Amino acid sequence: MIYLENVFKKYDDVVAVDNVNLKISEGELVVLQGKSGSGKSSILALIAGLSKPTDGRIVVDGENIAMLPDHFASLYRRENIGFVFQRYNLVPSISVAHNIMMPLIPLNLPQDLLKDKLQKSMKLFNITHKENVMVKKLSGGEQQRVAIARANVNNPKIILADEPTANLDYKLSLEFIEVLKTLKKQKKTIVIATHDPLFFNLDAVDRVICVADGKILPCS
Amino acid sequence: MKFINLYLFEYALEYLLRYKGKNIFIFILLSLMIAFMASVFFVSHAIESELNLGVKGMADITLQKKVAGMYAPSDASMMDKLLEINGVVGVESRVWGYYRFEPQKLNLIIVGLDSFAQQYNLALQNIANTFDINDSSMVISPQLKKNFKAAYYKDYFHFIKPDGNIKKMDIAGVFKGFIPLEANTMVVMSQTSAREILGLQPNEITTFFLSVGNAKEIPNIALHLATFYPDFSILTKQDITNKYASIINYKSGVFVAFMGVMLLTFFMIVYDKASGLSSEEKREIGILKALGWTIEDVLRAKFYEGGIVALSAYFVGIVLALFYVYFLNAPFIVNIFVEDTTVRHFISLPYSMDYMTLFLLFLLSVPIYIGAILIPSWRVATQDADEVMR
Repeated sequence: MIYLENVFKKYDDVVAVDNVNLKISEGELVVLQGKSGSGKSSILALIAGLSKPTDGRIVVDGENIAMLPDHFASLYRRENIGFVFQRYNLVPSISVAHNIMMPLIPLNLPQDLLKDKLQKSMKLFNITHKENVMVKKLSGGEQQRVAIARANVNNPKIILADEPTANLDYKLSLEFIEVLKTLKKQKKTIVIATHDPLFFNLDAVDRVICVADGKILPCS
Repeated sequence: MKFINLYLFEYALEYLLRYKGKNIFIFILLSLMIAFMASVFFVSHAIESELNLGVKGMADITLQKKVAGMYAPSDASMMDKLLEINGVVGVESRVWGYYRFEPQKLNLIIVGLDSFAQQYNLALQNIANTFDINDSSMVISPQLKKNFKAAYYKDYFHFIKPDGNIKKMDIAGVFKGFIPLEANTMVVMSQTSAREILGLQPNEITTFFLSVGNAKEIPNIALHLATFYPDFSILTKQDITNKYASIINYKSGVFVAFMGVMLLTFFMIVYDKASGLSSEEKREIGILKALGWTIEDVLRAKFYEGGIVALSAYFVGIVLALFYVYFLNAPFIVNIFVEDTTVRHFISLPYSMDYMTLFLLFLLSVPIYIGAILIPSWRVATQDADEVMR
């Protein structure tokens, strides 16, 4: 379903992704393991269409998204991708509900449908009770649940999470793993970039891929 | 998809509220700028229409005798000679003069009315038809009524005649529908009373008004009169227009307005350019792009954002200007337009709306502001979302 072929990504003189070849099947939960700066976040950004590869092909559902014009890259993200960012990238001074509904705004859905999607997503990630609270007043765990609810609100096929437990304590990290299991049950394709060992031996995880210096290497 | 996305509109409104300090400052500045520009345009347009209206009711040629540069009375028998001039189709006379009312620092214009004769001016004709003016009563303007009242003359006024005696004149009424610039200090009374107060003999009149059959002949007849009557001041309609234009210098007013417009618009743009987008604002655009917003969605939200501020400022500015000009009578701005201080205090601006001016103001403010919002947002939105968020 997701296929990266000879993908390179350079930022000025720095090679962030170096000839990566990767295949991820539909419904698979894959962990990209690597240290900070290894290139795993760059791989996620490329799959999400947030940046364009310097070279190579990225095929999602049979379509090469590597060189999509900006407009179509946005439409691709809107329809296919739910992204949970490392620092959540929420808008702190607006409410939980407004943050979660952000991906739905451009769709201009009928109000009933929009509310229904919003409520379902908030309920699924147990954040309904904070609906009208400003995000900046939430705890780290709650903020993460908002970020996941936002990523899932439009029911995307692919969920990408970048260091999702980096700002969470052990208990909250376990809660996140439960969330992952919920998403996996929904047959989502999930790619997690992390260096948290908690993920490496999980039953729910189908594969662990090691990344170092922008390359995919065998895990030691 | 529906063209107007109310969720985007709501998002824009919410965004404005999040940065309310900055946006309220811009809103106030923009409103004041528009109010200032609109006020200047309203005043200049009102005065211009007023002048055009005044000139319309004037005689083609006005003659007044001058002695040593001062206006002097002429003999009424001269009317017959004037009628003999080729092209002149009618001659009217008028008895009038200035009377200084020191307590209120006013120069009253006393106009003597022969109620049996046809008046040279429609407004005077209305006064003659409406009020019963006898030798001890007069009709005054609403503004003068206030001035008299301020000097404790409620129902009458005491004129001092040239021989030092007092002539009591009752206020028979207040006229309306006259041209304010001309009429604010005007007192209309019988010709007999006017002659008595101004010290004129029964055969003396002050001004002749000539009607000319063919408007193209006016300059030639004026030249003819200047040759044969060198001791007379000869004013054509055009001369009077020019004279008024110099009293009410609307051209310089418009110039001042444009200066103001340019400076304030420049200030707005400089402010916006200097502040640009903060890192937080840029990051938010990056997040929106990452969540699947297209450049068009971002710009549409920004368009609503700019539109809400600019349009509301535009409407508030126009309402403020209407209030300032037509309710408060445009203090300060009138001072710039009208150089003559005696006239300045009595101007009541008639309502006059120029929709082209309103449209011009709209063009000078709303699109410029929306453009200043859209350009930096477009610059950010066209970058890779990943790069912007980093």
